[in-house]
Amino acid sequence: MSSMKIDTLRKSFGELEILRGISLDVRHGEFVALVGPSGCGKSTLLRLIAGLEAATSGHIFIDDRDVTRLPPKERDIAMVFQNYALYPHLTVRANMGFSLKLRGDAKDQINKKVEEAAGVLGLEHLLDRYPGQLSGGQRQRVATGRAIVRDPKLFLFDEPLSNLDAKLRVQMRTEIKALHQRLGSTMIYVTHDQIEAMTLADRIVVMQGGRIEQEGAPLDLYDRPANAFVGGFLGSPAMNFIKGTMSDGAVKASDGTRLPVLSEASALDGRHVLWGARPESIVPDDNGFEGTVEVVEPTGPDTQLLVRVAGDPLVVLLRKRMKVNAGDKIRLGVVGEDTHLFDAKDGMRIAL
Amino acid sequence: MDNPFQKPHVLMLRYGLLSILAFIVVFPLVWLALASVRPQNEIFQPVSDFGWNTFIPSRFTLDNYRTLLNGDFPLAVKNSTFVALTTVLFGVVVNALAGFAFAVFDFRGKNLLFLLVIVSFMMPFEAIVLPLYVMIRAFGWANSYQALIVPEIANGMVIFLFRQFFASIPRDFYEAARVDGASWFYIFARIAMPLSWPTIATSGLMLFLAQWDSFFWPVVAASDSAYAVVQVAIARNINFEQNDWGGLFASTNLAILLGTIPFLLIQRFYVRTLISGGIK
Ligand SMILES: Nc1ncnc2c1ncn2[C@@H]1O[C@H](COP(=O)(O)OP(=O)(O)O)[C@@H](O)[C@H]1O
Ligand SMILES: [Mg+2]
Repeated sequence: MSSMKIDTLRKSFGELEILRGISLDVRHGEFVALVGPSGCGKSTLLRLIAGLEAATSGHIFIDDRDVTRLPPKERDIAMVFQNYALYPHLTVRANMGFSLKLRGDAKDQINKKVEEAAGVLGLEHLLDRYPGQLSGGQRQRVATGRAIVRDPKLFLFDEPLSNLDAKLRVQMRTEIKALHQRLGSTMIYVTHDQIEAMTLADRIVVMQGGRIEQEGAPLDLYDRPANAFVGGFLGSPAMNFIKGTMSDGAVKASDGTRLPVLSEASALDGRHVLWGARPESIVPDDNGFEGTVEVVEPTGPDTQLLVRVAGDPLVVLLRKRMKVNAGDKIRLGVVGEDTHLFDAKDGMRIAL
Repeated sequence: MDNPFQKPHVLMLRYGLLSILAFIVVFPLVWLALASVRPQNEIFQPVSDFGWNTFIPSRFTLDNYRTLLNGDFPLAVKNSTFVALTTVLFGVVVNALAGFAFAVFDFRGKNLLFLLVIVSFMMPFEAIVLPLYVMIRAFGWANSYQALIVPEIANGMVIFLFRQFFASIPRDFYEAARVDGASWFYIFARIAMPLSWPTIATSGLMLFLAQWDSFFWPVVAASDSAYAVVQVAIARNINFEQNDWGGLFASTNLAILLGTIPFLLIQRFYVRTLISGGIK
């Protein structure tokens, strides 16, 4: 049984179409991450699911009930906002119990649930404080707590960690993952941080320009991106792309450099393609293609190189220390033939 | 401003000028206060005969106030207080509701309507006195508290203030509450209003002072002495037959003192900023 289902959902603001037909099926207990560049419509999609914005067309089902035209409070969802939206004039306890009070729960019932949630999130000692007296991480927890007290059908998170510093973000990421495993609830999590998406999600949905580019398990998307955009979006440092033409089973770049691809690729000769390789898959190889080292960045465990190949910059991430200098010539190859081919025109993956 | 390395003569010049300015502002008020505790016949004497007597009354008397308290003035204070407080009560609620609608909802004609609100407080009150009076008469409200209160409740400036404040509250507050199941009215009453104490205080003060100082409309709409308000009562000290200067100064002085009470009461709200903390 699906927990939430979206059917060709569209949303326009005036002339501008922001969501261009989104369909998505979310299973019970699934953690789905919506990722995509800023402005691609992630928040809009979440607000439509929450009922804060009306759909232009299409349908939203929660637990097989059509909620497209229902107001937010009849959808049984909870949402955690990017800036937490904790009411400054209410204590942590009142903030967390807000929805229960509105629902008309009895006072001791509310207290019990709030204290239970506070226990899960380590907030017991903060219940009588005001939001203004809390640190960023604590506020984030209160915002999460406010969502979990209700035990809703669906949790929505809109970039909940983006206001925290890097270290706290990693810590809270782990906490959210643990929370999901503990509660087993369905969660939809918006982020523009692909690492967050990779580590948290059962399934990643990559969006761009109001469309879903690809969805699937994090590593499937990482290993087999459906198009050049997804390939470039997931992974850090990002995938390298070099334009070329297929010839004799390899990609010939503009200056004649031959970039390796899987051996069976000879059938594609003459086709214009985009050759893609992840920085960590590229290694020094005496039989490989040639490039000029431009920048060397030792980070301790790794060495990151910027190499100019056929006029294009190529990032190489070596899992070791290496003695090279800017200006050196270097020969490179790709480990395990881990290369990707995309059509030069539409960017779609070319299956090999 | 408080630069300790400031050259001393610049500092002296600044404080000198400020003192002169303060004197110019305060002196008439001091004179008024002193005049009100002088015997009637002495009030204008020191003006022609400038000296220490200008400042220090030869005899301190509360006669002017005593006369005042035995006359119509207490009734006027009562009327004004009632009218002003009622206006504040309804005015804050009505204008805040209107401001909330302008800030939060999208509806057809919103921009035009808001423009009209702004025009309404740009327009001098005198321009609408006549049509307003015709309306009040048609309602049968001439010489009544309604006539004094109702036209003053809706206030374009106050609507504008509330709209600006509510628009500055992050939308997430409203939306979080909606997802949690709150109705719009609940959000207005329990989220938006509790956050807007400084605006409520400012608006309340503006509405109060507008009523406390109003003269023209009460004269037109409620000329009956039973509905005389403070400013009307003050003016009654001066007429064609005789001028009761002592009564004038004493009543003016009282009106000023009473008028500052609400300001002193709500001053602390200006200091507190409630909005901090809930949003990152
Ligand atoms: N109420 C609105 N009116 C007009 N345009 C909007 C509105 N809300 C969002 N948009 C536009 O929709 C686009 C997508 O916004 P959003 O969903 O917030 O993107 P994301 O969350 O992916 O960064 C943006 O270009 C934004 O300007
Ligand atoms: Mg967003």
